Amino acid sequence: MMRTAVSHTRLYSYLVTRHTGRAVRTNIEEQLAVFEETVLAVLDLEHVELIDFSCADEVVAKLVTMPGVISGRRFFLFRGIADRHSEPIESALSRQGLAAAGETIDGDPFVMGDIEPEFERAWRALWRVGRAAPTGLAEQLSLTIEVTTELLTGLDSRGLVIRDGDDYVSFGRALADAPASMDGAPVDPATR
Amino acid sequence: MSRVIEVPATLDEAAFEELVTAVSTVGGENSRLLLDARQVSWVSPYGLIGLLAIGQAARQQTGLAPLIEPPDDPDVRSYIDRMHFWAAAADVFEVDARHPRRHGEVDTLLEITAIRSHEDVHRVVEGVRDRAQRILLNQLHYTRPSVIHFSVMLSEVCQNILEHADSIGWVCAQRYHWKRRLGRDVVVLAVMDVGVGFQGSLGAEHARRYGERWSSAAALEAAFLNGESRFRDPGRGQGLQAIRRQIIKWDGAVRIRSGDAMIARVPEWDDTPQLQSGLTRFPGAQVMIVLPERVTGEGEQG
Repeated sequence: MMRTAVSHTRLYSYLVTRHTGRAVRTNIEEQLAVFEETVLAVLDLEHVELIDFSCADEVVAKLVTMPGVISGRRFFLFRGIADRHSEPIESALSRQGLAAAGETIDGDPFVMGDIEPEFERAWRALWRVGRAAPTGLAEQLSLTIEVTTELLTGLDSRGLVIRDGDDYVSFGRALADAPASMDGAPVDPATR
Repeated sequence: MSRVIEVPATLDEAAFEELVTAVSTVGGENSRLLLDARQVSWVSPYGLIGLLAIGQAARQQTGLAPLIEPPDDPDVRSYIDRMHFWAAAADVFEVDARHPRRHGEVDTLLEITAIRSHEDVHRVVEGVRDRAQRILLNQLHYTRPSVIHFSVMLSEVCQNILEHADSIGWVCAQRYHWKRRLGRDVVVLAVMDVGVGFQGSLGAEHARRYGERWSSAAALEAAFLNGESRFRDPGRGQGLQAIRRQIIKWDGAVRIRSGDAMIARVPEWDDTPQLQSGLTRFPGAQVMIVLPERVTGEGEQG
């Protein structure tokens, strides 16, 4: 069973201007560069006062399209998402047909951006069970194995779930199973 | 040799157009512009930073710092002092050192601030929060999330200067009663630069596709309506569209003038044409956003 490394980063303050967004993204990319294996990066926006459209593009949309390395992929979970963050992030993702995994301040998981309802339903079902093969999840979703496989493969290719052999793993489970997490330095644009 | 141009008594967006036309005839070296504002009796935020834009354009055109004669009206003088006009004017005009004076002002949302870098945008956005809350929430009856949306809009519109103008720009915002057109209080946000403008900024990426139809009006439509940008990056160009969407939710107005054209989102209470071309050509981009007071019975504003 594959163990996914986890990196935690807290973001602070006012995420405004593309310049700031680029600096924050570069900082996160540098933090992730130390991982040779697959890594789930948890970015906490709870203390972000506001994020504008330019920063949402740089910090969210560009990160979720970040290429992995030969030995591992990069996945992202955006935590602490409040109403004040939603519109710029949704807009930045949807504009490019992207989606990203999020958690509200209360810890409720959801998908942001451009995602079709059947994919979101499969994503939520996997989040509930944590880890499943298509055969196991198909019954819960009342779908055929072929359709369930297609949905999970699609979610994996969009960086919303982690494939581990025949199984698919939710970010929630990956966090619980992580061998150790690395806390990255807090990223505050005010100290950039 | 100086060329004296009288500033209209009511210094608003219409007066700005008059000044642009008048100044367009000033040209060549050794032709210094003198803006005579002595008769000015009322000033809007757009008109006020319009003076800076006109002065800067004249300076770029003639190579000479223009002169400005301040208004005689003590109330107008006091207002433009409070808006920090003279601090910004010192970088544009040859001004009298006695002018710069600063006071607090309850209805000022944002004093004139020069935008030269992303740090300036941060300063504007972070500094405006408390006043935006007081004015939008308490006086214009907007919702609490609207204060955040206003700050995001402010950030995007200021970044337009950095991303597209390659030039200095200015921003200011003020609450006042718009009796003549609306009979309500409004917040007016004005942002201007005298840089390359939309036609120049988007030209390298889009002009070939438009061929002979490429113009200031076409560039404004491409950016404002279609979210096109000078960059190939698909993440670019969403700022103006987001502003437009937000203004529609608030039943506000936005107009962007650039080159010889102007595009607008026009609410029912306004009669500005949605697209004008053939205006007197002026460098850069000039943006005016009007947010009307919310009254009981109006829908959710987002």
